[in-house]
Amino acid sequence: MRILLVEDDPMIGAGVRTGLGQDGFVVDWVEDGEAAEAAIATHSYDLMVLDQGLPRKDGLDVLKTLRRQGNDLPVLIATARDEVPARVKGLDAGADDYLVKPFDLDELAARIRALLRRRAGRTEPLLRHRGVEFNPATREVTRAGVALALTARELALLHTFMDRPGAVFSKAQLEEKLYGWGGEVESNTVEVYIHALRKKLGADFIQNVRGVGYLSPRAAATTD
Amino acid sequence: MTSIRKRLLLWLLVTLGTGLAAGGGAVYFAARDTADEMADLHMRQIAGALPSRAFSPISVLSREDAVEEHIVVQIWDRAGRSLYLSDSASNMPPRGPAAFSTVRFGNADWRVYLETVGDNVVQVAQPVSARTAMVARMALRSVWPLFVLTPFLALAVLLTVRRGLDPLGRIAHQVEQRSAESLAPIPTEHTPAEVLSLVAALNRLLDRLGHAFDTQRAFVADAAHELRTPVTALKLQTQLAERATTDAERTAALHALHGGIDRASHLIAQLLDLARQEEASRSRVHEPLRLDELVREAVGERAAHAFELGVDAGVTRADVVELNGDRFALRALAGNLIDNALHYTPRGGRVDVEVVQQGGEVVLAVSDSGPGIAPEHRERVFDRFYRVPGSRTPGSGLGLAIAHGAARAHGAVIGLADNPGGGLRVSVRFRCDGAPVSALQG
Repeated sequence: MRILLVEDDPMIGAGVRTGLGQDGFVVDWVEDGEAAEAAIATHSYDLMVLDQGLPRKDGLDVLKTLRRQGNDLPVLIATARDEVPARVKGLDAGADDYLVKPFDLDELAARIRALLRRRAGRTEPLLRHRGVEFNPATREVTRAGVALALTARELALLHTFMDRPGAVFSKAQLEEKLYGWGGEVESNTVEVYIHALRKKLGADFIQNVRGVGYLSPRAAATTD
Repeated sequence: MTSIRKRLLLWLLVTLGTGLAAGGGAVYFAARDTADEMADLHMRQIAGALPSRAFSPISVLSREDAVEEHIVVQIWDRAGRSLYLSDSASNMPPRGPAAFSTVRFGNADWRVYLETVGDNVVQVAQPVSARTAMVARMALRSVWPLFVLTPFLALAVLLTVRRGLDPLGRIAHQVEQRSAESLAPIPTEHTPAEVLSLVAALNRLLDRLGHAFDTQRAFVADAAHELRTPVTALKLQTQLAERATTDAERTAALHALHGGIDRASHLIAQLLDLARQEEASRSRVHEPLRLDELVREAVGERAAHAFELGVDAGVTRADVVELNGDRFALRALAGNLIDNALHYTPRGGRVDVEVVQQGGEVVLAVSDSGPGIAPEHRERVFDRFYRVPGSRTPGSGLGLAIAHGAARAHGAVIGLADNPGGGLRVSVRFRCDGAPVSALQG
C-alpha cells in the first residue's frame, strides 16, 4: 500500500515515514501543499496523510482541490489543531479521518488500515482469498492454517492482490505499490517477487494476462 | 479616604446652617428694632391716652400688658407736685425735656418718656430689662419658622446629594460586574455629563485590557499548539526506539529523540524568555552593563554548537560600550539573534557579530551567510510564531519576536537587511543616552 505523507516538520515526517515503513507501507513524503498536488498528479496512492498547516498551500486547500477534481483518495488529516470547529472543518472539507497530534504511531497505522479496508468495501480486518489469510495489522500470512514467512516486498505485493481479488494490475502499477521515491526499480524485480509468491502460495494464486499484467483470480476461490 | 458624599453634605449643611443663622439673626435684629419702636410707640400712646385735666389714669393702666411690662406712670402738675404714681416702688424724679431717654435709677436702666399733657407732666418709664425680654420674645416669634424649616431643609439636602450621587453607585456596580472574562463596555445612557468622561476613559481601559487578554489567550493557544509539534516528534521517535530490532535503528531513533528533546527545550526556553520579557517590561530594572562583554559571552556560549554545525561564528568588532539595560533581556536578544543565524546558516557558512559605536548610537549586528529573508516577509518575521513559508529547518518562530521585544524595551530599533556577502544582517541600534532611535537603517 502506497501512502503519500504531507508533513512540513522534518522530524515528524521522518518519524512517520520510518514507522509506517516498518508497518509495511510504502511512504512518499512531501513537505508542502504544492508538492503534494504534484505527487498526486504523477503517482497513484492508496491513501494520503495530510498535515493541516502547510507552507505554500494549506492542507485543507489541497484537500478541497482534490475533492473538486473528483478524486476519492482516502485522506487522513493529522494536525495539532484539536478544537472541534477545526475538526469539523477538516472532515467537511472531505477528510475521511482526523488525528490530533501528538498521535500514536500504532493508532495512525490502525486508522490507515481501517480506511483502506472501508475503501475496499470490507468490514473484516482479515483478508481471505483462495485459502490464504492475511492480517494487515500483524502482517501474518497463513495458508490452510500454516504460517508462512514472507519478505516485506512479497507482503506488499500480496496485500495488493488480496485487497482487490480479480483485478488486473499492470507491471508499472505493481512497481508503484512496491517502491517509494528513491527506491531504484530494477527490471524484472516484479517478476522475481511474483515468482516467489507463486512458489509459497501455489502456482495458480497469481496468473499472468499476457500483454496486460497480473491478477489473482476469484474463480477458484475457496470458501473458507 | 475622601468621600464626595460626605464632603458635599458637610459643605451644604455648613452653608445651610450659616445661611439660616445669618438670616435668622437678621430677621431677629430687624424684628427687635421694630418691637423696640413699637414699645416706644406704646409708651407714647399711654401718655397720650391720659386725659389732659381730670385724670383717672387707672383706666388706662389697668391693662394687663402694661402691668406685665412693668410700665410705671407718674404725673405731676405744672408746679411739680406729684399727682399720681402707678408704682410707689419706682418713684423717679421727672426727667428732662419732652422726649425719650434711657436713665439709670436705682439698680436698673430705665427707658423713660416725658410728655406734657395739658396742665400735667406725664412720665412713662419701663425697665430696660423688661423691655428687652419682651422685645426678644416678639423677635423670636418671627424667627421660629426658620428653625422649624431647618430639619426639612437638611433632609432635602441629604436626599438631593444621595440622588445626585446615584449614577456613581450605578457605575461602580457595573464595573464590579466586569471580570477577565467579560470586559464589555459600561453603558453610557443616562450617564451625567460630569461622569461621562470618566466612564469613557474606563471603557477605553476595558477595551485595551480586552485586547491584552485576547493577545495573551492567543499566545497561550499558539504556545500549546507549537509545543505539540516537538512533542509529536518525541512520541514518534520514542515508539520507533521501542520498535527497533537492530542497534542501528535504535541508535538512529535515540539520536532523533535527543534532537527532539533539544528542540522542545529550546522552545520552552524561548517561551520563558518571552514571559520574563513581559515581566521585565513591567518592572524595568535597568543597570549599567558592558554590551561588548555580554555579546562576547553570548558568542562564546555558542561556540561549541557552531563548531558541531560546521559554521564559523565569531566577533569581528567589539567597541567598548557601556549602556543601561536589562541584562536578561539583552542576553536573550543577542542569544536569539546568534541562534537564528547559526540555525539558518549551512555547513561551511559564517556568522559575524559586531558591536560598533557610531556617534551617539551603538549598533549590535549579526550577519550570516544563510538564505536571508525575502523583503515581503521582513515585516511579519517579528510576529510570534511566524515562520517564513517553506522554511526547511525547524524553528519555533519566536527568536526574532523575543529579540524585537527586548530591543523595544531598550528603546532600540531592530532592522533586517541583506548581508553584502549574501545572507541576512540583523542590526539593533541603541541610543547611548537612552533616547529612542529616530531613523531605521540596515
